[in-house]
Amino acid sequence: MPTYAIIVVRMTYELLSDEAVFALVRDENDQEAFAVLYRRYNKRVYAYCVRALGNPEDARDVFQSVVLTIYDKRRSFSDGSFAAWLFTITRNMCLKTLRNRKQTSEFVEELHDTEESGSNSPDFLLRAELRKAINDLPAEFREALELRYFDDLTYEDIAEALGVSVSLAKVRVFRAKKILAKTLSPILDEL
Amino acid sequence: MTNDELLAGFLDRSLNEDQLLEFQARRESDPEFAQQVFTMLRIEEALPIAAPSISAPVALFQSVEATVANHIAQQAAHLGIAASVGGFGSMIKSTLSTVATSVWTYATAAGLAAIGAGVAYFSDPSTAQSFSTGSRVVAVSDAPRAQPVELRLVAPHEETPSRAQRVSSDRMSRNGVEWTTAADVPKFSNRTHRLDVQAPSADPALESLLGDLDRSRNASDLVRSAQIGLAIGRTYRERGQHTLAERYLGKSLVDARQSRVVEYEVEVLTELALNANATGRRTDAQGYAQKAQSVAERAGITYQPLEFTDSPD
Repeated sequence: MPTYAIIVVRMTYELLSDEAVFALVRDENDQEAFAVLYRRYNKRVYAYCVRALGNPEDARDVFQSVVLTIYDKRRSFSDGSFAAWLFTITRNMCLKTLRNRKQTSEFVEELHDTEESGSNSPDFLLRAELRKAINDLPAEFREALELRYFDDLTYEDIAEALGVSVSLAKVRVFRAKKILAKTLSPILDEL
Repeated sequence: MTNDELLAGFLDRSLNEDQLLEFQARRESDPEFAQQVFTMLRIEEALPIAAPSISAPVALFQSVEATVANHIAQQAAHLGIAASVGGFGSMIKSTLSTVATSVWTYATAAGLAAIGAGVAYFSDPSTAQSFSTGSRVVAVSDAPRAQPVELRLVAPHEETPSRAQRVSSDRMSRNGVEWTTAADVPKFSNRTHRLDVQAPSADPALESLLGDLDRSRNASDLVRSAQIGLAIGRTYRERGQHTLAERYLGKSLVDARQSRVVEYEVEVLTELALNANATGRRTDAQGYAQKAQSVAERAGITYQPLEFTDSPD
């Protein structure tokens, strides 16, 4: 196969939706298709695991398990959103790990604070306060908010991942933002 | 609607035009609500950058990818399936089998055409045949508009647009072919072709629209500005004045996004796709079309995606 044809075929994968690419994995056992999806989602899934589990070591283990599980369970995916299905599996595996640890997770602030230490810009102050306020949110609000703004999921995908209705997903995100607005309004006025 | 309902709808871009007007009226009449909106918008802006910075463990990603590749190969061997590990023939087969049943057939065909020169793909007759759809008609369904719009490829020797269409002469000569909307395709004749080389005359309707746009901008009425900018951009596109079309559509897009009227945003992106397509910028056209679709999907708007098909010569 000429090299230029290979380039073209790879580019065609990039034009396909997640669901169409995963159909190739499921129906054709197509490794290249799986690699395309893997590259689309690896950072987001890993970041989710770190946020949920609180440490990179556990996140690495769960991340690898998630990727293998996605492949092994490929035949159970029929329709709907691939992203929602992926995050549902990721979330369930993180919860299982947390249950085994029998402790709740907290964000590992060191992971993201080092690069910004010493900064006194208004953006930095707002960001730092915002992170603190997000951590103080009720768990169900925080989770919905993070899926929306950090993992870039649609409300439909959030609803599916959390096993709630779309309207409830919207309500949770909105209430989370209202709490944040109330908490941060004095800071926003100063900035 | 309550303040919370209006605010939530505004932030989710799910308000219809009437609700948006209600929202604006309430924001102007209720300072407390206006402050609430301001605060929520600041929070929304800050949220994406509040995500923890987690460095990507490249070695882990590579290691997991290799593990999975091995896992797939093992499973395939175990089940007696020919996994497409490096088997690009299988990749082509599977890709074709998928795209044949998907609207992405058209996107793929257009994408291939766009990159054709760069990778010299079509220089190989056998592979070109594999991907050819055997058609050079582009069909575009433009969901935000009431009527589906169909694009047709018009060969220059075949027909010439009339003055009524106000199609400029440079549009006719570009690349030897021209994209236009089938709904707009006039009854062509050689006689009208001569008239087309003349500059289009002033149009009172368009001038009126331009005046309205200035007034709405001065009044900071973003919704109206987005709407009028869209109408002006569409008019210029239909006349073949693509640079002007892009300028007004670009401004309209900014207004639509700022006013959060997602229907306009989708429609403007669709117009930008049609405009880019008309000037032969297929990659840009694909990008705009995909963006329109993703914005529509995210907002829960039913949207018939743009479909591109090659037509026969």
